[in-house]
Amino acid sequence: MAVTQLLDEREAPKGVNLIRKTQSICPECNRILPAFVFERDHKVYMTKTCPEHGETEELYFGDYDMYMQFSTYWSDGKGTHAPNVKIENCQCPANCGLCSNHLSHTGLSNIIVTNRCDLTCWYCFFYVKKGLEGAYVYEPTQEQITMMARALKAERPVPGNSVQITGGEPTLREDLPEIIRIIKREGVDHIQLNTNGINIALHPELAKIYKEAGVSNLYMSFDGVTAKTNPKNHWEAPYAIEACRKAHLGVVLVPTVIKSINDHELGGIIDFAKTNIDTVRAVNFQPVSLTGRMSKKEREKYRITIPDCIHRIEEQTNGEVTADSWFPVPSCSPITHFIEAVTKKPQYELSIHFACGAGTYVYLDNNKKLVPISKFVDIRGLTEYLDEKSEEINSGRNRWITLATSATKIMSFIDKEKQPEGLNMGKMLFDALVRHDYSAIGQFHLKSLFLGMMHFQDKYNQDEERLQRCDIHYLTPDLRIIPFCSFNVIPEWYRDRVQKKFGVPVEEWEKQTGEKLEAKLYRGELRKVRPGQKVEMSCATSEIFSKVSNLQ
Amino acid sequence: MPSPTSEAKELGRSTRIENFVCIPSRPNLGKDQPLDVKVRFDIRGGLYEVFNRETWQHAYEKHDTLLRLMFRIGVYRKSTGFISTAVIKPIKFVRKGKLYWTRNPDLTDNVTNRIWAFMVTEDGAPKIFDSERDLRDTLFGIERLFTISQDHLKPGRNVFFAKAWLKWGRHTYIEKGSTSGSSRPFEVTVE
Repeated sequence: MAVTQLLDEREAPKGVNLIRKTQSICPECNRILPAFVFERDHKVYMTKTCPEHGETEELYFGDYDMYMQFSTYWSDGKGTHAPNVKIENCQCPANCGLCSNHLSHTGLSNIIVTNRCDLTCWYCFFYVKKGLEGAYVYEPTQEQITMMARALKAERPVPGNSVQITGGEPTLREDLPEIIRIIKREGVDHIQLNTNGINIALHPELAKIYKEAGVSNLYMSFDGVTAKTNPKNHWEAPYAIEACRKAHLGVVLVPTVIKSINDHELGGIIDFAKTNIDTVRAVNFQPVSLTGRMSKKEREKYRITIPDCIHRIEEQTNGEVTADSWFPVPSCSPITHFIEAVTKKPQYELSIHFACGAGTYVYLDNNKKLVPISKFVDIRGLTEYLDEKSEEINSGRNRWITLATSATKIMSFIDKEKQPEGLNMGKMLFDALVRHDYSAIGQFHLKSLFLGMMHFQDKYNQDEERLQRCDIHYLTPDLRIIPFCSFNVIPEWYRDRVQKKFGVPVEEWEKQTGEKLEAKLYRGELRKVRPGQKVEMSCATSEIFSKVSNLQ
Repeated sequence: MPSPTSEAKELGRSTRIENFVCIPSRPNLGKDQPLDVKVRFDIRGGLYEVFNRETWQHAYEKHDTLLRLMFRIGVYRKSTGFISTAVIKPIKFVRKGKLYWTRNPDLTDNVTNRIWAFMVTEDGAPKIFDSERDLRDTLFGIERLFTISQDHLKPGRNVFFAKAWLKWGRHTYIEKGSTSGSSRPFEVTVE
């Protein structure tokens, strides 16, 4: 019987176009299973069969052609040369920490500073809920955070350089400015603050305080342009943006996209970002990760993937941001490899799996229309050219001569006629490739809007080939660096265990602090304001506030 | 890349173009008709031999994960003189072999044998194979269709041949190098 089951689980699905075979886990018991990625009806699916719990089939990527095109950018990274977990046999998703088999250095590291939140969103799996058995308040000390930042900077060959302070709601910690300063002192260049923005809307002076402490930008949840689709911070987000505008602090909007809930408002979200382009630097769409046990029918109702979002954006922006404007994250690798060839030093590299994320830059033209970078830069031609030049340098050609000739040649990949007025993409590319420093890369954001996608996995679509390449990690007080899609996909092995080990029971926390957990809950003060009324909190009623409010 | 060993240099020198043939769609043509020609050849020798699973593992550990094969192919009228005229100017294209750590349980034990390769065709299409032999044969086997326009087809006997060049960069397993070859001539008659 056991032998038959083993054969069954390894048997490829019949009558479909098999693309590749990988490993995944059983959503019921976490057993590592062979998984098949295949095409059916122009979509890509994953199927896996647990001998005990049966088959799970899941939509993996909603457009087969886009999957195939993205896959050509597959580029494995340099990995971690100083792993915390040394293992011979790769056993993803077990033993994450990072292990010696992980293939990407940390691109962005999350530090959870609290799991308390001022909201109680029904779908959130993260915040501490009073009354539940095993509810722990997790708030690492400043000393622990210092050590986490040091663990990040100790990564080799590329030390980590980007931190996201997250929660819960991080602004609930009163010592947050000091935490930001600590991380900055440890040499981290980029610090983003993941927040729902409510505290900043209520206390606009916080934006300036966080900025002065060292925050580079807010990473603000923003799920739609109506109160129905964005019950979390629909009324508060414009105030938070206004506060950031005054503090010259950039904002990244982060919509979690759920099919049948808010997937009809992706164009509206971009429009909102466009109207606030002086402050909003990017929109990073996150197709929903389906946590907890869900029936196939429910999953089909909510499941949306990167290409589905991309196609909806094309429709909802009236064709301004076309589907072919998007490139998978590892498409940046030729630029990294070129800079590495020139400098002879390992560089920061976005080497995640091609199915994990995608992005594009869009620029505003004189008619206030969005022009994607791919409309005036031959991205594929440029990356092919950089690959060729990297190879020439690695084959012995003089790197400085190659750099000099390349700096001129890259201009030929830009169509100046189609380039939005006032934009000098040639100079920006030259700066990025020749100066290749943090400020040069930052120029891309300052004159444009970055549109990104990041599809975090869940137990239904989990792919170990993706996990092994993950570069969004969590730093934990035991100084492990755990990939996002282990930390949150298998919380019983990672997130919950860490928070229990380093947290305190809610009752104990309340005794220690003399504070009730629910005392910091948001009571909707800003929701009492209506268009035309005098707005409190020193926030001017912005145009977009009225515009969004009028959509009600 | 580290300095190439003498073995890597020798592998480069022994790389060659083999089985180079041109197959016209038909031997006889009417006036003002274009001619389709299938050009086919294989890369054999050092580069073909060394691009194997054992090498992939070693190269991957040195982060040497991309093999770019830069081809040029042209079709020429065979002349009795020294210089042949191009009837199809050399076209350039790149094929890639990319190394990656596979999690396909049929292909890896995740310890010693874990690296696999896939191919990106000149048209930008990815191809993943289950067998190393199939991958290498496809990656190093070229088949392209060309059309010779009627302007280049004179009444009577026309003799053409194809010429191909291949260039690659330095890798941990082979020194940079190039090779070239010509097909056997083929003949068509235009009425």
